[in-house]
Amino acid sequence: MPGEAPGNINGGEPVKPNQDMTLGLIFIATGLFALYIATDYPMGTLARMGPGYLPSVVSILLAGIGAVLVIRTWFMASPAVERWPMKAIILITVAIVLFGATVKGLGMPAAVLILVLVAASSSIRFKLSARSVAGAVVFSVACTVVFVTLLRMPMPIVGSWLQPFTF
Amino acid sequence: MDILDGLLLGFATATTLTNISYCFLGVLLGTAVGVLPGLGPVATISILLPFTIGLPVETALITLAGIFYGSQYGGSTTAILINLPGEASSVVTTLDGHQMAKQGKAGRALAAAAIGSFFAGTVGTLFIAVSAPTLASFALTFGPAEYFSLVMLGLITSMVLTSGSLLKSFGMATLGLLLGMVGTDVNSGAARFTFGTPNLLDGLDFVVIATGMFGIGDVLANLENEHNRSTIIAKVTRLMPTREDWKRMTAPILRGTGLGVVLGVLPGAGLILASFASYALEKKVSRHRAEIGSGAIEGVAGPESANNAAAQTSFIPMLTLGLPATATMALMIGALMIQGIQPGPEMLANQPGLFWGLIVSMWIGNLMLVLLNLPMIGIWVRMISLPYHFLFPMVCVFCVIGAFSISNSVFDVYVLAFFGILGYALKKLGGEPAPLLLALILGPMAEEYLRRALLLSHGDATVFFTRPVSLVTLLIAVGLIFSIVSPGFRGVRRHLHEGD
Repeated sequence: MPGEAPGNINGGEPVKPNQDMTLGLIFIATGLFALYIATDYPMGTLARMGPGYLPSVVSILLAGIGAVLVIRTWFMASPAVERWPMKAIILITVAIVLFGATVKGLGMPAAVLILVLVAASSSIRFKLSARSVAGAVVFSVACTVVFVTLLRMPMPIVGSWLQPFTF
Repeated sequence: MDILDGLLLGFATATTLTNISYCFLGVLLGTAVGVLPGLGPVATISILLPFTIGLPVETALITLAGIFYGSQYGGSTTAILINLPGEASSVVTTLDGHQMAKQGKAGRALAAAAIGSFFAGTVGTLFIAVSAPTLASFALTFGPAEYFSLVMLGLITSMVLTSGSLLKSFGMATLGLLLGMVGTDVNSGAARFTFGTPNLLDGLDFVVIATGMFGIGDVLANLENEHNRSTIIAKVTRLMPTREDWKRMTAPILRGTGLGVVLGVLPGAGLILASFASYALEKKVSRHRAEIGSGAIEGVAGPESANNAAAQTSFIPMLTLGLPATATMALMIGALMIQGIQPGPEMLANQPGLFWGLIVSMWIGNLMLVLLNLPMIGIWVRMISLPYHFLFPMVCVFCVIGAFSISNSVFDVYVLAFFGILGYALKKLGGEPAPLLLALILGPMAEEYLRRALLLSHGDATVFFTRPVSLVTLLIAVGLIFSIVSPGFRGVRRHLHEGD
């Protein structure tokens, strides 16, 4: 219907999602999705359960709990979902994923340096300066010495992308 | 085997130079990470656990025991010095501990905590040594039906005693069960929920998920409240308790230890119950009860002893049944399984050196806390006073390296990121991560026991009610669920978690 965007049905007041409703919907979606997958596996019988039996039961249970949570919000007030700290969430995720993507190619010290700097920039107190970069460099070298040299973790110090540039 | 012989064997295992140095290292690292504000024992252990993987079995376990006690003690230190409990069971310590710190008696509060913990740890260790072999031989008579019921009891207790809504905890545990099904089904060899990627064939790694939900998740939660963090740290002055202190803390330590030893055996949340029960008891019976709440040494010594005694005896369900009672214990079981050991009643018979070595090293870990950590308090204070924006990128690095090193897989690093956000998001919606974690590790066990029990009974589900041990266990579980609905218990539960 025109003019009635979702989330704007309460007489123009935007509906704030509450905690129970959101969590309930997450449970329902996860449960149904898992059930959809689990129905492909053989069910078996109660005496000889196949690989699909318990996954189906647990998925239905999860969706059921989600449904109760959602229905309960009609009778019971639930606190609204607070604002998400999107900057921190995105930067920390990006930092970790970048580490995963670069640790084999660039090597451990460079990957740690990237992780530290990107993660740190999610703090309100972080300023990119010569001092903070120097601190991050010292920390990544220390990490490399401890984990690769001393604890012998199988991570390259110089990654495969940088190999052509070494002598 | 005789208990004395067992303890001697344990000493022989635990006191080799290598093992004792690793125990020391574990205590040191455990305290160092545990004192960092915002990192509780679960996060500490999951961050440090991967670094024990390359070690021989005994050494790895002894190091872990050290990390366990170190992280517990580190939590008490932050509770006393900056009024920030690392987990629910040290909420009580903040009450009188931080008051003492404010009055310039921080050193004595820390000493009382350490001494009480050491005494309680010693008694707890003896209690395990005496009771575990008997319990283990009793547990050998259990079949899959009994085990399934016990697993269910463990799961239900953890849901009941977690803060927040029971329904949400139920949902979180169910989600954990589902996540535990990812991977190859042991009975049929079928790949479940693997989305066609070989990376998931071995299932989701428990430690990676714990590191994500508790380590990364906590970083996100702390960043959210970054501007209103307090950085006031109490000065640590005199460490040695006065003669008056000694006199005043003796009785609370004894009472706390007694309570802790008994309550710790309960699956679910013995530690929280023990420390709160001890505090309540001191408030009633102590000669200085009027001062409790405003910085009385009894209010630190009692609950800290109870907490540590319970931490010790919470090893009993794990050692004798292979069932974790808390998320921390679940991590310890995870560590055992990484080493290729299935904890349970057979452990005592098949690997006596390991069993007794672990028990003795718990005691040595406790001793090291008193002898080494107390004098090093200056270093811990300096670690606490590190500003958070220096700290959290390092925490991220340790989490990531830890996740990577479990199976040297980059895929696990991405799993870590995913569960970091998921854990944070679910917690923000009121879903506590602890039941999910416990269910994740108990789930595969529960499924295995359930399927085996039903196979043996030819599909007759009444087997869970006709076997006495199984029936009693299930009745306790049902009783727990009903008790939570009753108004009296609701009050207790709210009281338990009002500090969260």
